[in-house]
Amino acid sequence: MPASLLEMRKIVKTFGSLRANDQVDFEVQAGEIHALLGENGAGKTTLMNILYGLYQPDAGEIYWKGEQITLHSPRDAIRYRIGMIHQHLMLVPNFTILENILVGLPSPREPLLPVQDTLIRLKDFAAQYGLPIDPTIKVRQLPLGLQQRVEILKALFRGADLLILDEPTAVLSPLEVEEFFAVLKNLVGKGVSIIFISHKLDEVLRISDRITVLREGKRVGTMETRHATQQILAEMMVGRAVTLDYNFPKGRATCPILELKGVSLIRQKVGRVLKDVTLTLHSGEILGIAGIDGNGQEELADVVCGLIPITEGEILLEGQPILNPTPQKMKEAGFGYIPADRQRVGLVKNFSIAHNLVLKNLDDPPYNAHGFLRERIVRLNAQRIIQEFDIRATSLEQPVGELSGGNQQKVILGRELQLAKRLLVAVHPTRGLDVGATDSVHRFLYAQKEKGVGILLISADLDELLAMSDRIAVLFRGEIMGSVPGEIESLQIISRMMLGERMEAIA
Amino acid sequence: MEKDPSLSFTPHPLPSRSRWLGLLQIGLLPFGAVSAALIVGAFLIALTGTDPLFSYQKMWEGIAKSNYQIGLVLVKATPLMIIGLGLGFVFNTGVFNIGAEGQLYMGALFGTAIGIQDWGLPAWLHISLSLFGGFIGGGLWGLLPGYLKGRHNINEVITTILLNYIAIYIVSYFTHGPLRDNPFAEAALPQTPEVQASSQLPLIWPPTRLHAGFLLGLGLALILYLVTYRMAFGYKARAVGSSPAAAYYAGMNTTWITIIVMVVSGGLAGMAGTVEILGVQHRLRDMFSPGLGYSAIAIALMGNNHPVGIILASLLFGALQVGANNMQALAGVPVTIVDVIQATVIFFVAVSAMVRLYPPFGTLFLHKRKTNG
Repeated sequence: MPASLLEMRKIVKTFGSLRANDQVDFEVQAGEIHALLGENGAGKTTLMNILYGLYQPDAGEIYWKGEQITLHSPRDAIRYRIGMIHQHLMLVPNFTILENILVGLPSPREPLLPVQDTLIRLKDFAAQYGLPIDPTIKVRQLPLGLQQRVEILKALFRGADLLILDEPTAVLSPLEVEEFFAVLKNLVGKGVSIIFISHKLDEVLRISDRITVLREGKRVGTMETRHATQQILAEMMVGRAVTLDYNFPKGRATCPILELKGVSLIRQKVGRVLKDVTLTLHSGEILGIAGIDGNGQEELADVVCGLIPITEGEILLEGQPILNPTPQKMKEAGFGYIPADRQRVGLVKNFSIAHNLVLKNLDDPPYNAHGFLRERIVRLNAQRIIQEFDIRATSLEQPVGELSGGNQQKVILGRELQLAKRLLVAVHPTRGLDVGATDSVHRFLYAQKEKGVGILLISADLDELLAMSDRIAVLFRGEIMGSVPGEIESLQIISRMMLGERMEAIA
Repeated sequence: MEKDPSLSFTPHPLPSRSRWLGLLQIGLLPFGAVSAALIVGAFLIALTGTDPLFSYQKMWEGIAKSNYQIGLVLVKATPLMIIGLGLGFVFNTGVFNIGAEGQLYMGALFGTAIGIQDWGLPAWLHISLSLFGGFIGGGLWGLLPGYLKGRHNINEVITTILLNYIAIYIVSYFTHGPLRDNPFAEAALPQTPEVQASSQLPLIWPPTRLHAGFLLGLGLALILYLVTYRMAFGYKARAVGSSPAAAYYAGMNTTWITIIVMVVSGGLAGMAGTVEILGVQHRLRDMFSPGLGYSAIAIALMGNNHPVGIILASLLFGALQVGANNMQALAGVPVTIVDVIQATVIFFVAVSAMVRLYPPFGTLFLHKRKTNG
């Protein structure tokens, strides 16, 4: 076996009671693109922050070019020629590219900066790495894809044998992803090794040489990419057979509740997020929305629940158009909404469980009498829901921010299922939850469906969608690619639609 | 490999400790801040060649020697309390109103304009009208930045600071011009005539200077407590402050809530200005406030935005002020040093409160910054 460029052995890192990294082994060969794959919260970023010196491991060893090293800060990492590009770019928008790169460099003539020399060297350097740019342009004038390239250039210019890229494609459009991958291939050709952090299977399969999968802080395995398939990787990531063993009978839809007709959404600075979306949701039906993160799913949910006004099109509730929807109006129409970001959007973290459970009913009887909150009734309501949803907490008064993710989600479910008389929109309802909590969330959703409520289930977890949904529609760049029955046989066609093929083109 | 599902349901172990720590901090930080300021002050007093211990003894005597002095402390605390209550209310909503000084001036102008009218009204009515006028004046001065913040998300810190200057100069115009007392006299001061006897706040603890405005402050504290912690509106306002995205998602009208709390906060500052005129000064003078609206920011922060905390903090500030005046008179500490000590207290209190209320701000100073993973 050739000597590795990097070896991390038995890395342990805990945060409070959470074991973010548990005895993780990881190694990178010179000149390879090594993908680090895992769900959110699997410990990918923690491991890389340790490698970049941002965190100190509780246990474990790091070998760099055959020698054991200790990294106290990013400064050490940079000294060893390890560079990291964070998910959120860290450039000064009002500086030029040149200035951004100069900022972190030692100068031969302190306190003066070697502006002219660097400008000339930088131009040569950029051309050599196939990243042609004009260093005198201000960063804020560049699109995100180019800003990212500036980050890479900055790391390379400082000197890097290993680049860590944390979810680099999250900010890129599909076209930019193509160009970006070409840049990476070119870099590897120049002898740079790359660690590519991602949770997107298709990208990992396309770009990497080898793949290491993490799950719940542990290393599941490492394999050569040519031996890997989406199926194998997905199983490694989620740790269970891809078909969930639910026996939820798929119901027959009755009458339509919600119709979207030609709905488009254009957002400032972002552009067109939803394009001509037409959907029908029936009562007692679960309509799944599949798609790679960031293809308009969360905006679709916000639009349906009245949080964002649509640019074009029509939303009909039981055949009647809804004019100027607001969150308040949609709540009164019998809509429940489980938002994607439960901590920031779904809950007020420093309010108690009891008050979070009535967050949307503060003005409604029986909780409100003459403007005052009737604490006794608020508490009774909380007691009932805590029991029904099996929320584990020390008391009704416990601030919701102190609960585990699963229990926080149950608080939201407890509130929203009460409100969802006609329709429930659930976005990533089990993301980040463990098996037990996931299971109970699924059962609550199913029970709601059986009561005749229509459910719009938006999820990035195909297994969840296949197990729960009667039908599945696929969103790609804000457009519906098609819809198929929620059966395991649809998996192939859903995956292809998720990558942008239209159903008509496939069938 | 498989996690025990029940494990993840155990509540996080940290909270109880942090809550305990929080209470301790609420109690200890102001104490530490005042102590630190007094220690700094002692050095400054020593520099002027006066004995710090003797000076502080005079300070303490100034606060508690007699009922008269205690009454003075309460009088000084009154406007700070009323402004602080409004600021605590608005800070809970996450809106940082720095404009209490200007709102105070506008309120004092409106209140005085009513108070000087000889309408032959009974005292209860004349006083009520003046106070109401004060609320309106300050409220209008809160409405403008509140609207800009709520509707157009324009930074309230900047607009309120700028409005402070405008308000102070408007009052300056009126005290030099239209409302000037005896404008044709040789040495006319830039001040209004005395307010009518029917609009002066009655003294409630003769022979001390304590006036009914203090009781008004306590009553307002009770009302604000009920609104903030017992009424649906208070829950909504606090939700907007701590999680604006959640508040909007839950169907709350965040724009309206922001505007209303700004109007109430401005209105209370304006009422405080009127109370100061009707209860103590009896005429509106150019530049009449020694920065009450700024001190009240420190008071609201020190009181953790809670009415009870704000009452205690305003009493402390009142005491420091009265004590410092006595120290100046009897120990011969120069007035500028007294001002420096007071400003030092405010500085330490504000910093300690910011550290407690806004952890990101605190971590900047106290800990090595963590990059989130």
